[in-house]
Amino acid sequence: MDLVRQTLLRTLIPAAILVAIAILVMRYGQPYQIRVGYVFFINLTMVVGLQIFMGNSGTASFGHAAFSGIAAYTVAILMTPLMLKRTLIPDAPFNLDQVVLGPIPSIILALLVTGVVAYVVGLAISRLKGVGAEIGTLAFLVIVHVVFTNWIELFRGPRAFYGIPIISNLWWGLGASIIAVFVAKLFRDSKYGVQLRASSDNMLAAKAMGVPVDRLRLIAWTLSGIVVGAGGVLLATNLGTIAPTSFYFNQTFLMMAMLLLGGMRSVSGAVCGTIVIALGSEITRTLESGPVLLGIDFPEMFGLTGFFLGAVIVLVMAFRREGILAGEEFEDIWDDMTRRLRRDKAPAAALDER
Amino acid sequence: MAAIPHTTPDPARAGVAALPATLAIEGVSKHFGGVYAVRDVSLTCSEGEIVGLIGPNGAGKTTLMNLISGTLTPDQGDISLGGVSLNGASPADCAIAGIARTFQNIRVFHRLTVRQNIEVAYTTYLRHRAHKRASRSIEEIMELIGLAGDGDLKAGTLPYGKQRRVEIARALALAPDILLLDEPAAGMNEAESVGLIDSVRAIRDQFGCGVVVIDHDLKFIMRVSERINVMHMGELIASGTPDEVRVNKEVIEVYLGTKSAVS
Repeated sequence: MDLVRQTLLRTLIPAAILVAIAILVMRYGQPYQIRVGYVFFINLTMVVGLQIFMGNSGTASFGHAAFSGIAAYTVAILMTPLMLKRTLIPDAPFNLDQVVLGPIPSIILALLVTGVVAYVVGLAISRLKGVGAEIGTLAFLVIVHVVFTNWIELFRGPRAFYGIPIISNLWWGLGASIIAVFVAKLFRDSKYGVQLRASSDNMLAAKAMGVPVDRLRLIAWTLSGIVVGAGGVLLATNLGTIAPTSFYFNQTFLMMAMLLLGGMRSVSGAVCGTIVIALGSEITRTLESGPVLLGIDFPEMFGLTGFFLGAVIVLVMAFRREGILAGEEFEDIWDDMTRRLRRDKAPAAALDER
Repeated sequence: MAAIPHTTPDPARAGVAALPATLAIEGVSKHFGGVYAVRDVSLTCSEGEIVGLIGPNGAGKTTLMNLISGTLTPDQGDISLGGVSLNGASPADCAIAGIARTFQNIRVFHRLTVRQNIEVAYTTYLRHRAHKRASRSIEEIMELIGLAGDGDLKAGTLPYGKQRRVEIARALALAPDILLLDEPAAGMNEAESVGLIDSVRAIRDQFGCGVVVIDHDLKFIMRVSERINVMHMGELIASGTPDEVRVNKEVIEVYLGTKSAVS
């Protein structure tokens, strides 16, 4: 209980930043900016979710975009009105074309399905270590994509699944990302989070201290999958249209760039990286279309956004492996700074006394 | 290492100590390819005892340590603690059973704080060992091992000597029956290793565990241990009290070279 209270306190700073962003966007933004803001909160939820696994286990995952897809499609299939479903997926298995649920049960079921899939896949992934585990996650991404594009009766294949009731808005995104930050911080600071982080620092020593490494990796993987799934739910219920490509390599690399830039080992790093990349992508997207800025006529540069993300990953890996925040939380950086200030003052005071 | 004040053992521990758990190694062998790293070694260590294991480089000390702690599995022989077999046990199983270890090359969790380093082991203690054995709190352990005030520092930023203490504190947080110290005096000067002797004895007195100390520093092992086992080329060539080992002809021949080195 003590930990929950402390984590609530520690969530206050990032929550305040996010609320400020949301209010700013809603007050002064045009519909376009509001959409960008909403996408920011969706990505933030997913990146913080990804941090739960990557940051604590130290293992990269290329598979998490699949979880957002699984949750998004589950919500789509359960929530879309029957009339539409008859034209979209008339031959759906398990009579799913005749079932429709309200938003709340649909969302809960979507997260549950994602959690169950994550757990089952995690049974295999959590046994693998290092590169083996990372390739395993990549294979998982491809498998899920292949299922989406080829199980036409259920997912409509590569064509878009449209007509999903649009029920969420920017405040939902804000709420979801604050909850995600809270959950991620709670896990990181819990006994099990600390044990899992220990195993990523030194596997041999962690095992010698009785850390159940595989089980903790499975827990982190599953929890992380569910939070990323929440991001998928937000996406489906705001855009109203989803397609398998929304949950594939582009999304994977976007999430990866955001997390690595900020520093994957802290939740604050995930928040920080998402903000910087979101702003950066907006700038590159504007430049892509060849605008006239400050009297200079820029040429059209298609693909600049993708180039930007790739460049960020390469530069971070080359020059700052631990990311902008180097694995620290905002609060810890603040504590460190005040401690250092106090230490600097102490000898000065001693001199004055002489 | 800071000297730890000798006090009478905790009454909570005194009750448990009535039935001391013994680590028993019987006829254990391990070979890599055609080379025996450890061949037919037997030794014991009970709670409250300090047992030394000494031998020149390549004698098989660390292999034996890895066998006891579950990092390696013996080809032959039995390892048990308090009558419970540890054959085929994983490192985590061994920790849960009551064998804690430190590492020759320091392996602290460098991104975690000192307190969190200890907490990692303490979590295992609370889950699996609390019903078997009383433990001290994390703060008490830090105080006793000379880490008071370092709790919030990242373990990776500490100097070498303190990192060694973090490893020992972490191992003690498991409230182990047997503590394995792998070359604790490595990199220490004469004065520091004399201080370490007091610390090892104090740990035994304060925590009531058995201690197996591995080192090739002869003076250190002779002074800290109550019983000594000498290894050479994977085999145990002598065991006994320091005085017995000191005059053992085979030991003098293969390891000491000259008698004067032992004084």
